[in-house]
Formats: sequence, structure tokens, C-alpha cells
Amino acid sequence: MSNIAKALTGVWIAGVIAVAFLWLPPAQGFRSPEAARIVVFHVPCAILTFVAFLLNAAYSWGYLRTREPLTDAKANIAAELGMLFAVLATVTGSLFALEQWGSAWNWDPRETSIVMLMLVYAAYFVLRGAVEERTKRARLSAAYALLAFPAMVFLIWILPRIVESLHPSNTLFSRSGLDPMYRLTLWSFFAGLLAVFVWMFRLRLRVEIAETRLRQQMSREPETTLTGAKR
Amino acid sequence: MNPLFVYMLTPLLIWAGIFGYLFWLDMRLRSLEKRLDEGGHS
Repeated sequence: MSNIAKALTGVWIAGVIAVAFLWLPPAQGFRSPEAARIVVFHVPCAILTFVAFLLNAAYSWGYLRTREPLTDAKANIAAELGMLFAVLATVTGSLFALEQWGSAWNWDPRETSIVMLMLVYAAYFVLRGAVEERTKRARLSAAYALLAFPAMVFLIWILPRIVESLHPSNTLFSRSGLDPMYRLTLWSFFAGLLAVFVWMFRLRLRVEIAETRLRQQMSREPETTLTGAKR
Repeated sequence: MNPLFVYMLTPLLIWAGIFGYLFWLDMRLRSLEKRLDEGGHS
């Protein structure tokens, strides 16, 4: 990302946060209307968690088709970012729960499903850490990611809808859901976070490529870069 | 806790997570590039 794009992203997100504080009215109908506005920050983190794990599955599928090491690296990075946003969604959700429901953790279906989701992807990192040989690690973790994907869809989209939950459902896309002002602020914050996501993804990829080059330099391996090009 | 304080804490936590990760990535990249320039010796 260019410096201008980074600066614009920072200004955009700062602007959305300012709007959320100065323009967004307290959410009526909640036990704590002031704190209920947290949804405009919390929900985009949860959506990005889904986007990241979706990317992880897509890159894993791509790796199994092409056997390209760079695609495996991208799948791993997407899972890392998914985990980061899952933690952020959980922490911000706990703050909301503390104010609205009186306890930071209620074992609500969505709370339980995000814990299960994090465990599923923690196992992905354990698997990657346990296999030394790079090609085997990439192949096994890609296969695991494709098995984890339907579990992720079930945990995020299906399970919270089939059991009674403290969380409302269908608030983002239905007309009777969120107030239009809230919806606009929420999606604006999501757009900013998505730009930061791309920034983090690209920076993490540069780290991965540098690590591979350094490993090859130190072990005097045949000089093949992560991108497959001969050096 | 004051509800307004909780509301203000939320974007701060998100930024702490994001900037913490970006800062760590930047530090790691600088250190790797330095080691690469030195020929892989650390």
C-alpha cells in the first residue's frame, strides 16, 4: 500500500470513529444505550474474521491445485489475521455483554461458537508448527483448512440461528434491522478496517518472503524464492 | 463502569490490537532485512 493510501485509511477510520462519537445517537431499547453503540465497532471485526477464514480456505484450495508456496503462505497469513480479528471481536463483544447483559461472558451461542472457531484455527497453527518439511506442511494444512471451512460456516452462520441467542439475527441486511445511521457508520468502519486488513496482509507477506530468503541464505539451500523464481 | 467509558474503550482496544500487530510486523521486517543485508549472519 502506498503512503497516501495508508494516510487516507487512517484519516477515514479516525473520521468514522469521530462520527460514531459525535453523530450517532445512543441506541434506544438497550439496557445501556450509550454503550450499545459498540456494535458499529464490534460487528465489522466479526465480519472480517469470516472474510479472513474464507480467504484461508480459498488460498488453501488454490495451493492444492497449484502447489505454489506463495499461495500456502497467503493461506497461513489469512488464518493469522482471522485469529486477530476473532480476538478483537470477542474482546469488544465481551465489553458489550458486560454493559448490556451484566456479565462479560454468558455462553451465548455466538460466544460459544467463536471460542470453538478459535480452537479450530488454533489447531491449524499447531498443525503447521508440528510439521517440519515445508511441502508436507503446506499440503496437510491446506487439507485441514478445507475441512475447517464448513465448520467455520456452521459456527458463524448456522449454529447461532438454530438455537436461542442473546444476539439479534438478520440485523445487517434486513430493513427492519439496524437503524440506517448505525448501518452507514458500521459499514464505513468496515471499509476502513478492510483497508487496514489489506495493509497488514501485504506487510505480513513481505515478512514471510524475507524469512524464506534468510532461511535459504543461511542453510545454503538451492536459491528458490517463495515466488518460485530462481535467484 | 461508565457506559460512555466502555464505548470509548472499544475502538481503543481495536486500535491497540491492530497497531500492535502492525508494529510487530514492521519491527520483524526491519530486522529480517537488516540480517539479509548482512548476508544472513545474526
